[in-house]
Amino acid sequence: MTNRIFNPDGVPAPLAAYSHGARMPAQARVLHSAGQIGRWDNDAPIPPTFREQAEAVWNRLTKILATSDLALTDIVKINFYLTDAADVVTNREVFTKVLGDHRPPTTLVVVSRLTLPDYKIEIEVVATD
Amino acid sequence: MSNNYFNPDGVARPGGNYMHGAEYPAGSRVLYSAGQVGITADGATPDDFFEQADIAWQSIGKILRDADMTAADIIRVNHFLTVPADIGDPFQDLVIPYDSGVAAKHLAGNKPASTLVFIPALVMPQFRLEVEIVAAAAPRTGNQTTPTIRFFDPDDIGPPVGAYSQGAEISATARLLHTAGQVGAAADGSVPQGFAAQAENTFRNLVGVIEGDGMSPADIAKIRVFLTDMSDLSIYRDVRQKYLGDSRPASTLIAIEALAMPELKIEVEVVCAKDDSAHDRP
Repeated sequence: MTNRIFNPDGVPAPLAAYSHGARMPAQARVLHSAGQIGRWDNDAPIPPTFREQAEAVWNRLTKILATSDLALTDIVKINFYLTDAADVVTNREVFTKVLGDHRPPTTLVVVSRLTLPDYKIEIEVVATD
Repeated sequence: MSNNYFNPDGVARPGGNYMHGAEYPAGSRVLYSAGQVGITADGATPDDFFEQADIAWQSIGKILRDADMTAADIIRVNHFLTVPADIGDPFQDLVIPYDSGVAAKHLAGNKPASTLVFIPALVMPQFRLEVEIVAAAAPRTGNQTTPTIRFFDPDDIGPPVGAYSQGAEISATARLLHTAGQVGAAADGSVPQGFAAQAENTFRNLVGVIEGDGMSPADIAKIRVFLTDMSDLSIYRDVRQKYLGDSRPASTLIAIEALAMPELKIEVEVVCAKDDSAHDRP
């Protein structure tokens, strides 16, 4: 059984490289990740740019998925929390490059702050195989 | 089989009472809670953040209880807070008192996958946090039949302040559908200026996605609503009623600073569940 990512007829095309729905199989295990922030290690400096933080987040998410024997292509939902709407375009560039042809459903919101003021992005995912 | 919580090698340890990944096994029943706030069964809301948090977490506990689950079954938590000072100074303190205090007390040793963000507002201006959970456990023993989604409201917490349920328990045989956050784009891709027109388009698009997978609004287990202006709440409720009718999913509704395009005022995502094998039953 695999997930079916789809865009139904009659619904306007997604705004970016994502899809409107992800149908998951019944009787599936499901992984939820914690929201990941863009830091390589707790005692490492917080990267100054949005792009570096976003890349660090995806590095962490890839490792989390791998620990569950899952891959980026098993993601069925992504939630993006950004602190600055000006980073929306860079966010799209980064996740589109990371995910390639895999286009799961996404939600993006701009929040007031993350746990530390210098964090610019937090991403959580749901995945299943 | 039980839930699996882990921190992978090569990823910095979590900076709080949570784990980076939480996985539930195939064949689990799954509980989605509505977002819980610091309001008691008799409608009171204390000013104090920690008192609000304790009430919200007590409500989470009662929702779990009514699903025959415990805090040990929680696999994910989303914390939405409105006042950054309520978590102290994580730079200086290295711990978040809320996370290591109230939340950890109610989680009773469990460390689920978590996300904590600050947002501009919740449904009522006095609310300082909203907490929602996902939990998973083995099916109940015995042969009682349960609906694919059981919507319920514990009788000892405040009733929902809208057309939703406090808990949605999904049967172990259902399949899930995640939708993208839907926005107010019309069929030609244009985005109307007014909130009401955007909300109409949003829900029309949402129903289109759900129906595109052979489901209907009755199959929505969880709905998350993001508004850029909480003063649009009553219009939102009217439009939602028009499109979702009698469905009563577990709901979380928060204000956010902005969405992916500056003109967008609303975004709505849902998790749906359906048991395809149920069609074969008499």
